[in-house]
Amino acid sequence: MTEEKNWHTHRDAKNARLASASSLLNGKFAKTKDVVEVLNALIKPGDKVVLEGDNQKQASFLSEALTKVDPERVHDLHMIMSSISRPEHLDIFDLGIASKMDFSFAGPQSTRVSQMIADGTMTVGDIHTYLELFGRLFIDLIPNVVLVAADKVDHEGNLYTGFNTEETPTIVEAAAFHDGIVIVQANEVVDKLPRVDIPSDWVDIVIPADKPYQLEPLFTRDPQAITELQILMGMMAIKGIYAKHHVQTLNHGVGFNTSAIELLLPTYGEQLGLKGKICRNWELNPTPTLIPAIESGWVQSVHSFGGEVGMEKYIAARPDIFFVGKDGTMRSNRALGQVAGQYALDMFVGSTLQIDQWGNSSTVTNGRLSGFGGAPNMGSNPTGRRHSTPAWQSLKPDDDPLAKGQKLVVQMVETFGSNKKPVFVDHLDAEKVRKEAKLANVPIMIYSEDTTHIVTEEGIAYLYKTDSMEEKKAAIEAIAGVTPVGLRSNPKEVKRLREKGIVALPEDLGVRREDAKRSLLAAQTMDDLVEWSHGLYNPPAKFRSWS
Amino acid sequence: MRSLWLFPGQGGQHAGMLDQVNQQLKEQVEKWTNVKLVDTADAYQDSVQIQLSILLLQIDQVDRLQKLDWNPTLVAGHSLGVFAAAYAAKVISKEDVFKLVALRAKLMQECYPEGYGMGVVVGLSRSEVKKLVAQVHSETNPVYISNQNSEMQNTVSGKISAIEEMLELAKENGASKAKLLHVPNPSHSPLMQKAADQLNAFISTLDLHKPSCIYLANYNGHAVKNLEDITYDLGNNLIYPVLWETMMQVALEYQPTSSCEFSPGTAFTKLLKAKTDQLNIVTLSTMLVDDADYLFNKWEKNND
Amino acid sequence: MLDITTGSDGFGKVWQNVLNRFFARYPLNGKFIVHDFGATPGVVNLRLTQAMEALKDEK
Repeated sequence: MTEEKNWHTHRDAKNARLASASSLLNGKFAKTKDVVEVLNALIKPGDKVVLEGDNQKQASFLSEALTKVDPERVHDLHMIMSSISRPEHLDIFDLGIASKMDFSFAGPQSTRVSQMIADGTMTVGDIHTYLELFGRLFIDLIPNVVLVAADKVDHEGNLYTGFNTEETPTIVEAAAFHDGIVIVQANEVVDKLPRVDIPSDWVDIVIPADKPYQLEPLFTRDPQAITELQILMGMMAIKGIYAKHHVQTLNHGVGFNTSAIELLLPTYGEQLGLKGKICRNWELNPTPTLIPAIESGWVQSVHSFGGEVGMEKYIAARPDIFFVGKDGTMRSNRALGQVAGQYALDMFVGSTLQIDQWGNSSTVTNGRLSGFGGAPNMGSNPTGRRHSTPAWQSLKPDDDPLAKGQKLVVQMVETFGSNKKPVFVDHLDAEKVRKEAKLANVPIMIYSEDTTHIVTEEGIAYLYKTDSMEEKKAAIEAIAGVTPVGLRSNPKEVKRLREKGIVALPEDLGVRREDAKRSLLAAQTMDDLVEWSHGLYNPPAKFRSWS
Repeated sequence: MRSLWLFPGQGGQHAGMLDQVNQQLKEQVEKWTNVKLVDTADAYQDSVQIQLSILLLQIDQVDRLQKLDWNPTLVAGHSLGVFAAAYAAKVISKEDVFKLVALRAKLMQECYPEGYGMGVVVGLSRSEVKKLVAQVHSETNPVYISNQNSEMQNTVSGKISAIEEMLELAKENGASKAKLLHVPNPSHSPLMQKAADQLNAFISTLDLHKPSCIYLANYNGHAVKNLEDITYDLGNNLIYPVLWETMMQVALEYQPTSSCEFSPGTAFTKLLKAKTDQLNIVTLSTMLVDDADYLFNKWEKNND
Repeated sequence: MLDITTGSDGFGKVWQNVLNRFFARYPLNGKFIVHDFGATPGVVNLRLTQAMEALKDEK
């Protein structure tokens, strides 16, 4: 008689762990002061642990507690994180608690990450886009323990995550349905939640936090910092790309270039008669600079990856536009937002630190490894897409009967950075970083083959129209200013490219540089934005002026 | 409140800067080191006067702040500044740190009596400067890339003739500024090895303690919490470039809420301001310790 | 040991390139004076082209 194989080893293991912590628990609830002991009891060496470092929301109470566990009991953890944001996310490697990391974004800790990889304190599995990492949570990075943050929890353990839901449901689902342990820090315990975002059946442990989880306003840009150059580029983009291709659905990568465009729609866009014809449906974190366009009737809908500090009341008052629950507060979702960003948008517009002679973009510089976040996902052409829109179809090549359309992926850069170093270079710094950081591939943010347009202060290069790499390089050179790349351009070539419609200078688009004035912005200060919002937008302290 | 304490090195010294210093401490230092601190412009031609006087100024300020119960979350010293930084981190005793710096200054002076020094290049990236340095450097005409003060500001150290050659090249290659510094020895280059050896020998006789806060190391730009690395930095930072830019990047990743620059000067606060506008700032060369105490109290109350 | 500078005194070759590129695209007569307060080449190009448009308007 052969032995029956045990097909529920994970379930048995989970039950054993929970049993070992039973003295610390009252139902699902643990005491705030017992958080370190709970982690010591429930996490085992070598575990795959997701720690909620989202883009905005940080499970800071749990991450600080994790640095205090006993490295004899809890060590060699394999961390899986969307965003390495806080110092203690790396302290756990110094302390011998964690040894391996799979992540997506590390902007706030990019120098230490670089150092730790170089000296072997941290082994990196790989660097991902958000959506890839979420996908792997269900395939080969299935977590044993997840440490997440919620706003409110009720006595049954149902969670309300509200505006800052971000990727919490995705992370929790991966653990909840494969016998992982779900540990939640909550700002408050209440009798009744505004609504249920994550049901208690998915939750194992709730620990009330000693203070609210950390939240950063990452998508707020002060209009006062927008320059004339950015306004000129915004005008060119609106006329030469948005209008030309009839862009209806889009995402703006965070930055001043895109904030400028948002503030030009109600003014310059209106002058061009474009309202209702472009920029109707957005996948976008609720950036305050979109308020004037919303109030002026440009925007039909906005779905968001996460919240934005200060926008809560405004969003609650605009449920026709945003994704607002019947309780009146917004819900965000990064996984679904990234899916939309990949397949359901006409266009992505972003910026970058470097572009090479072939049109590849990278934000990686020596000694700072910031990872990818969502940009490569938004800024790439989804060959799996089948549905057609006017913008997508407008990029279909004429010469191939089996061809289809393409997503517009636009990079907007000034030819020189604020440190007066050229943005256009022959070789990306990323090529060197690959060797230093022992990565399998050069960490390119957006590939040349996906980049359809580049906008600089000199003009627009319609790269999708070029018929060879030689022609693509020439188009880039034509708008790369006096960088070493740009200096290879010659007037004859520029003329030829302009005649073919591959390069457009402002005068070709009918854009006057004289008109690129700050007065063209629908809002010029944070106060203007507050006024546009009828007082509903509440800027965070660091954006308020002293007056 | 999480505070980053910045300690400058040589360069900002000026006559009369010791006016407000605790006189008992000054006399104590003079006894320990057998050096009378004269605090005149003439005296500040001498490296021993400069280094001990700056250290005295900084130690006095640290004492006053710590007496008011203020302690740093992070300390960062530039070159000479590492010693006051280590003191603030409770790694080294007062008497030991003065004796150590007295020795350091003497060794630096004796190393290269003349013909050697440093230069600064502004407007080229570090890798660009490295390329140009490599074009000039030879064993008989040595020049090395040294301090990384900011992304576009680096120093070079070596024989003056080699430095001058390199500075010319830098100007031809787009540097907005390339000039000699008033430094009489090739600090922060391998040329200082002999001085480092003797310094390390003395350090090994000292009784040092684990740091009470995070220490940013010159030699590798890392945030360091163990004694071995700090000890290594104190004895060896002379032969390594000061990786200040990296130190500042790492410091900011620890999310400090305030910075405090010790005397003399405000050069490092200026560099820091170019990187972030999110810090509450104190510069002890422009205000009294009591003013700093007032501000720290205010910020802590506001949870900043 | 430490020196800070603002502005740029020596960016000469870059400004020459900016002017060459500008005049290659926009052949114009006129006296152009560039005040460099630490602007990037992009900003300088913007000022030159704004001045050019103003000139064209006057004609």
